[in-house]
Amino acid sequence: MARAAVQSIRPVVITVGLLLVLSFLPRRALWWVGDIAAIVSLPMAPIADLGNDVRIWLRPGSDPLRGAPEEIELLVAERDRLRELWSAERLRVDQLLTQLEDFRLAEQFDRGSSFDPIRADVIGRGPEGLRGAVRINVGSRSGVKPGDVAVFRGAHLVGRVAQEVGALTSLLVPSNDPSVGRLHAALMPDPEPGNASPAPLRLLLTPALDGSFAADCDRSWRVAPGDSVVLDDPAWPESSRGMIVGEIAEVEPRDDQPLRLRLRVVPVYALHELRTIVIKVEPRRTGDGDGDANWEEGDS
Amino acid sequence: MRWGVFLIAALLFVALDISFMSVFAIGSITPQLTPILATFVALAAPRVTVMWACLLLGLLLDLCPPPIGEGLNAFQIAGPRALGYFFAANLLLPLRTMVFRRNPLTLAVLTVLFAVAASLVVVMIWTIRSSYPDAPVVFGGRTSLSELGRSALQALASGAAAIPVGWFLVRTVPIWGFQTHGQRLGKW
Repeated sequence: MARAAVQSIRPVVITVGLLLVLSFLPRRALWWVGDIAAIVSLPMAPIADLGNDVRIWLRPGSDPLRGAPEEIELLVAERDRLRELWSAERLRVDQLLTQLEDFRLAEQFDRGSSFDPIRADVIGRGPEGLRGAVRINVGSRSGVKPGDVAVFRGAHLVGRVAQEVGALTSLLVPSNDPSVGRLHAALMPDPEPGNASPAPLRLLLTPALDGSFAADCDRSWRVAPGDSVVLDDPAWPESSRGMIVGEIAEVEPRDDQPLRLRLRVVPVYALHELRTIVIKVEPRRTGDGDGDANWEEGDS
Repeated sequence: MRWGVFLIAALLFVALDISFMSVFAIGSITPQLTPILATFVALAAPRVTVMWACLLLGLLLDLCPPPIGEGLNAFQIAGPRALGYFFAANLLLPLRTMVFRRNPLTLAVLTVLFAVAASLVVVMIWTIRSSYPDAPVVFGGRTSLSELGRSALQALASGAAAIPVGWFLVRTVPIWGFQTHGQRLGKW
């Protein structure tokens, strides 16, 4: 009897009809699918974790520091971290100078860039392969909130947590994903004699299909391949300011605009090649309850 | 078909697809194991069982990390891949009586066909959905046509992977409990 039910075509037709309806329902009617996806990802997580380990062992991602002594690795990480802090301070100073008359000055000082680091493992990717969001094994139970940023080696920005955060897992969107949109960034020129802190050079980075960013700049700017580009986007959390988005890979003059240069910026580390990242969780505030307000305010 | 064996294999194959298989990536083309499993089941299981199995496999893939929409909202939809796999299974079912399943290339060729057919439906549904007001960035910003081209290359890669994986799957036929003639699957 039960076997006959299994072999009946009618339930299949009903299921297909239901899936057809689900496929075209508006997003607001499908809020529950994400919860089911989070539950389904749990039994697959241990296998995916092991699969990631084997993948990294067989084919480690591009890492300029691979094979370097641990001491060098630590020194470079520390250098990048200090450079990030320095860039963040320079950008903040620049912003404060332009807002000097504004009453928000004191609040800006208060905000700082403190954060709590949370280690997270990548436990799943989309079936399309090396693009789109990835699933990580930390969620709201660990303090992760929508909009938190993910970093690698301290100062390299690799992604941002998507809106739907589950209790145990969450989705992380690569910083170079087209859905993230354009990024406001800056080039930080080196100090010159008589000018210890030259003004940052602002760029608007547009994600390209190959995972790099494109940006235009003035021809008079002194830019060269290898220069680091740092984030300076008010829509991103304060803790991400000054973090390294990527390095300039190509500088080419624009044929249609002779006074402009076209820059190609490539992230040093690609999220899809990484096994473990760190989420910078904004510390919980007591009293003012502005938690997600910063993120929503920045995004609007 | 023993559903317990199938469920374990489905979870294993999908988990490997979302974690391990990018080790074989050439550019952005990554071979997939799930279409191989679907094709393997489609060649041996009863007709309705094949449809359920493919719907389930597609649904598992639908629940993998989704495209991201405006404001970093995840766009998780249950349906496109499930329907794609269902469509592809129905394409294979009439063909399976015509193929020589003992040939190691059969699973590879049919996997390519299966993956291409499934991607046609997936691309069609997402293309229609991309006209919705709150649509996410689909296909990584590529056009539907270039996504179809990419899917075809991915299907070829999956077909190549189907030769060794299919060899392994055929060795496991006794534990699947397929009620088919042993000779039809044969030994490679």
